[in-house]
Amino acid sequence: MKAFLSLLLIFTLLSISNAQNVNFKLKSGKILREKITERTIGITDLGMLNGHAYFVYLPFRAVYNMVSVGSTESYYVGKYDKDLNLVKRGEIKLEHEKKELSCEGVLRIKDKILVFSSFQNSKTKTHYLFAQNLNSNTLDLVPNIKKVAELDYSGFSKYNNTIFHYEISPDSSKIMVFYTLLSKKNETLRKGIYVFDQDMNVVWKETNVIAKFNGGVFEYSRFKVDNEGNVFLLGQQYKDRENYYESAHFNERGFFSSDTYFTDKPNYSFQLYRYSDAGKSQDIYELSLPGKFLRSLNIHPVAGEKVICTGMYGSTGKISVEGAFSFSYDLNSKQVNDLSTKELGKDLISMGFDPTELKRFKRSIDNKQEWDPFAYQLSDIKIRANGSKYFVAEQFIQGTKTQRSGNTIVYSTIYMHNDLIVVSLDSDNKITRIDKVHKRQYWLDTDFYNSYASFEKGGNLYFIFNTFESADGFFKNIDIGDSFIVKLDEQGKEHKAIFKKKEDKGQPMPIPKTAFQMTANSIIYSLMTFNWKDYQVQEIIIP
Amino acid sequence: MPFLRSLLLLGLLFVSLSIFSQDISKYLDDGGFSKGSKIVKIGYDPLNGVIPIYFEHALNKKFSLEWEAGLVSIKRQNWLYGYDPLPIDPDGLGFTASLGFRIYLRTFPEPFYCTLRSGITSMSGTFFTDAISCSLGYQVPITGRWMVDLEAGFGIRVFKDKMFEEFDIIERDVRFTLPVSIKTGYMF
Repeated sequence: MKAFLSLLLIFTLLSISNAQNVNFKLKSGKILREKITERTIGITDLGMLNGHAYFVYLPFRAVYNMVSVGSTESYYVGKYDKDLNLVKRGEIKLEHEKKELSCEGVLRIKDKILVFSSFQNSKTKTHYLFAQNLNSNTLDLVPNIKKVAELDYSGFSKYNNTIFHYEISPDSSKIMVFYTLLSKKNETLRKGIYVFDQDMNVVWKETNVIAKFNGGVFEYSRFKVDNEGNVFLLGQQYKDRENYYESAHFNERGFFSSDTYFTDKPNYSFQLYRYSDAGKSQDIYELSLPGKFLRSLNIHPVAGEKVICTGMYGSTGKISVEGAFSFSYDLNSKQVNDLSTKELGKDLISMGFDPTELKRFKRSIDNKQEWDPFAYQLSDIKIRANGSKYFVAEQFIQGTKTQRSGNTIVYSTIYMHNDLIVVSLDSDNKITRIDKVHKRQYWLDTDFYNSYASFEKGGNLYFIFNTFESADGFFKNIDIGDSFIVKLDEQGKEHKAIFKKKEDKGQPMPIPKTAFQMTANSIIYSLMTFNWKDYQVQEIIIP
Repeated sequence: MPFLRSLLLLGLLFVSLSIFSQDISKYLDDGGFSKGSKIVKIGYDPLNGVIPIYFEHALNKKFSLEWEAGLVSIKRQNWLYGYDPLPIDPDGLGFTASLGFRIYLRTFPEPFYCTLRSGITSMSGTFFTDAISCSLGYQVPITGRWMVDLEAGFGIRVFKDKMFEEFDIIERDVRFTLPVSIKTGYMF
């Protein structure tokens, strides 16, 4: 009995000291609920403006690209004060002369909020893009709407819609809009670029962006615009994608359901497209490293004629990751300079699956010596207060869950975001160390609650994330775990604490991707319940 | 001084608005297509010999009501009643009227939709109740505000039938119907 009590005491003390490993304060706003006709289902961050935090609330259509019955089709902007009170939640009413415009995005550019809207004119066969400001005090649209782009689709009888992607230059002086005209079957009909200055005047445009590659399948994976208005598109060219997912997948079979994961094959390479001289000049560069397979790559154009490339690599012919790299690519000489690599080592290589699943993964691909099916989602390079830098590579894999119930089969998309690989660089972009933050995130149909938010305070990096494991129950597919804050100190030591307990069922769940820095020592993020009814904001403060 | 400051701010606001602002009406002029909420249509049902006119009006982005009234060729209806004596004359003209409730898979007025419809048909002095029909359709603009609409489905028709000429025995009868229609119309 005595021994048992002693053990209990030790465990209690251990758990208390673990909880105190990260010194933080959690501040919560009120849990809010809108009436059903004004209920939205997605949230994105806008950032801080004049001491207030802004979030955009997205309708069903914006998240799933489908019309919903009964719920709102409007976007809303929420404005919170420093005490996390909702000051105002304003609807973005996009109507002009009784004609409804579609909202195409809300951006914060310097100290202004910019709303993009569009109108498909079936008479002129043109999709017009408009821009106007939103008053950050009243949350009303400013009557300064302006046509900024016109996309002619008269040549495409199967045209259905356009999707827009926005990028802002580091100094916020240029805005790039990359658009894709889609057919009714979601096939790409045409791609184009508009570059604007901060007053939304067209700096240059290219209405027919064509990738140049021989055979295979090509897709753009990164978009960047620099302060001069030069555009950089990172393309990923697959030699062959025929039967791609039939040959590179593996299963986890449960009693009620089975999960199939789709990994990549090492059959792709990266191409960089640069549009410079106001779009008049186009250059193509092959980004590769001899003897290495670039698994994931991110680009960071810097002033002058070079691009800093960071990412994760493996051996040629293998998909599994062995280490991280950083190099500078000279756009004039087409030379790789300042190459820095660092192996992950055995301790950091993370499996993420049990041995049986890994066996299935090995069987599913040509090279049986593989161990890592994950792709790596790369953050941009961030600079610490002391001038050193870091980037984060997050493990990600997608799959399909198949559930049988009588004669009915239900398919759900699996989004799995696992460990974070934190790669530290010195001021010259040389890799100094690699650390790992362990996490498990398994969610179905959306990836709202997955992934992480990070920020720096006093040389330490802080990460916040939720944890979810897969479950194979009749009514239960996911085991919801605790939500953690992890401190990675300057020596790479991990300290962990729970900021939301799994027992808090029915409470709004943090959406880490909506987080942004509120003050020098705090971040704010949004939360939402799984049934989309209730929402909230919270602030994590590092004293 | 505060007055001057306000004037300056107002001036700056005006400059910023005028740099950015534009009359976008001309870009929204699509010949009235996006403002259209009503469609008048004429159709033909080649299977059942119905030539109706329709009036459809949107209730909101997803739902609309479609009113139908038309003439029926009784000769083309005989196949529904494969027994002797027929509950209707061998030929002649009848009349039909119905109301349909439409649900668009995307938004009014195109392209795919589902209609639930009820109505009555009068032929040879007998009233037939088209209790309910369910059909799927596809409606798209062909040019400007002119629309084409294709619809097919199945339904249930209920009527009272005098079974024998010699006796005054009237019984309720039920038939399955297969409404099919090709329509063209103008949206306004």
